[in-house]
Amino acid sequence: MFGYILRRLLWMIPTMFGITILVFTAIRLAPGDPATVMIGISSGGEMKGDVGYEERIEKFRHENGLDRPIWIQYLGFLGPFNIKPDGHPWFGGSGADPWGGLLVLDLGHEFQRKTMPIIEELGRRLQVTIPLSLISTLLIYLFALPMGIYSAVRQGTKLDAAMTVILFILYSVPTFWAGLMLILAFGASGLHWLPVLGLHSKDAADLATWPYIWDTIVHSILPIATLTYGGLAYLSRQMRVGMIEVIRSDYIRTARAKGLSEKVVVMKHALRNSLIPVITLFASILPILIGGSVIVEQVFDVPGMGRYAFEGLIARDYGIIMATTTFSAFMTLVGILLSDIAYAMVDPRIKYD
Amino acid sequence: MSERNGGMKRGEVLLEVTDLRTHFRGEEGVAKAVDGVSFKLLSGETLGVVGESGCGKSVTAMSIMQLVPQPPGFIAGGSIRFAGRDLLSMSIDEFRRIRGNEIAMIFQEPMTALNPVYRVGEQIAEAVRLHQGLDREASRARAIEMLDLVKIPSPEKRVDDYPHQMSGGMRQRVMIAMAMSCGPSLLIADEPTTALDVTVQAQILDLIRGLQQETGMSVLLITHDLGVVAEVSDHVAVMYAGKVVEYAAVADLFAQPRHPYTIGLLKSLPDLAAPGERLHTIPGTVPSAFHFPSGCRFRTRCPLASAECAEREPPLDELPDVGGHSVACHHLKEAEAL
Repeated sequence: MFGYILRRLLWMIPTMFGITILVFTAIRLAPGDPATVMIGISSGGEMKGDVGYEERIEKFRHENGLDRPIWIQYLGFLGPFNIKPDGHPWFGGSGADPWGGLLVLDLGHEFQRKTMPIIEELGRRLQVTIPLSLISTLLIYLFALPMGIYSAVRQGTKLDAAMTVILFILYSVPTFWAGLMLILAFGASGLHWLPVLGLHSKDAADLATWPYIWDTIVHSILPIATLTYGGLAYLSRQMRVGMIEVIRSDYIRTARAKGLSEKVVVMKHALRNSLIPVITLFASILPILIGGSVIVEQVFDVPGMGRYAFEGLIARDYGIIMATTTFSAFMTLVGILLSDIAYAMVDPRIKYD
Repeated sequence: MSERNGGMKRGEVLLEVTDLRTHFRGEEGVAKAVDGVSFKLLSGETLGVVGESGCGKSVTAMSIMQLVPQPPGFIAGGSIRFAGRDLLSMSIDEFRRIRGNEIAMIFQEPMTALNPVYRVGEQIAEAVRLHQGLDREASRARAIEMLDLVKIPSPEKRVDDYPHQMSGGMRQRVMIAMAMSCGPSLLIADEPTTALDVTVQAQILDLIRGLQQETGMSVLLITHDLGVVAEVSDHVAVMYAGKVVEYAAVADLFAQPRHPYTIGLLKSLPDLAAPGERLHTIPGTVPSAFHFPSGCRFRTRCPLASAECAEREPPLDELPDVGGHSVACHHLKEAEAL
């Protein structure tokens, strides 16, 4: 098993290589140019034809290495050489800052805030997104599994039918709409029970530890609810279907024929088998939560990674886009690996090595 | 393993099924899969239940074990008496103490009948812990003992195998070990050899017969294979369209079949002695359980069918000339000429 995990980790390297090349090429082929966006911003909306516009564009492109051939630029992203004017002498740089790129965990600086290292900002954003995603994943599994099992065992009852309808509706409701409805219902315009913007109150920095934590919890309720409901609906349906299939199988009949009580039949013989397909879904749920939080973070004004990716896209900030997509891709691969490991632990028929 | 016959001597009635009706609700109406089945199984004997697929023989077995999925299935009437107790009037909790303990069952599909995620030893030991209150260690020892009993080589190693590490024949042996682990007085075997290779079939039948001789248990053998019935049964019940049409001692049935359906079945056996001849077939197919014909249900395929057969259902009556041989047919005389 250890050898298998090691092999899988090594395989991630070429996979990540492929993913980054694809994304890198795609965003450069996409319409829009960071230089025009940036110059537009930094000169307060100055437009083409103004004095010195062309020169400033040239200067921006040169400073950020955007005037190099695309493969050199990719090398600059990957590292370990810095290919910008202050970079490694091999690439015509001054040698002031010879190393850079993903390999030395340097993802460059933001185009707009020139002194802000992207990796530092990404870390800050992840401190927001990762706890929200993990809590949401935990809640999804915590509620979806019992709900799925219950409605499978009580298949055909009124409660099962009601749950089916409600969960189907939840599954169909788009995230942005659900988020806005929650804001309308619980925010100042409705019941006025919960704050709807950001993760902290304005004066949160002045609060003592416990009030600060409470403030964070209260602010997190709606974003987490919005992150959770869709996955919850989906996973509990999957669990129900899996459980129903397992309950009809021959070995469940065998377990009943042994004289075991229905509780043991379901919780021992059926549960472990019906978990197998649900575990594989973990691989897709985790990265969707991290990446898919773009909308939720936007709606609730949460400064997480999803919003960072969105801001990067709007600004055509290649560095931010590459950083966020690379991280999402990495999380996807980690999710797949984790679910494969869990798979082997639940199902003895799966043997790695 | 304790020898247990439900406290009965050989030859006493262990299981008596009377007018059992197991129906299923479907979109087309009610399917009368089992519709008035009666038979007796004597202590220490083997009763073979034969018939084509869809005749209700498996549902009969499932009804005795109360494994018919409800809904859509339900027991519409009749009684099942086992060792003097009425199984159908018991609560499910009461019945669970009998199920897997005094009555055990093995199934047709050894490949899917074992839980793929638990070790075979645990699957055997589980029943022992439940019914006999043994602890983990003792139940594991019993599991090894049972695997040895069903002639699985190096059982102390195999006890930790998962089902996927075993062949079909081995898995059926494990199923038998599981069924035998609490020393049942009745073993229900539902097509136990159908899914297995011919050579393995014979081994499994020998095994069941050997275990029966050792323990004195009764066996209810469900099969469509007349060869298997001839080999191991003491009595035979022939089922057609949810009913028993003929019941007899095995020698009587094969020597002198009296129901036109039984006669047709025996004739359709491939005869090794006469190669090159066309095989005999019974024309038509088994009628749907939603729409059985009126009167005798076999009349739509019977060469002797008459107006009387459509009007009145023939009762399963004992023959006047042969004791213990019952047939449900209006045309016994004509059938002798078939």
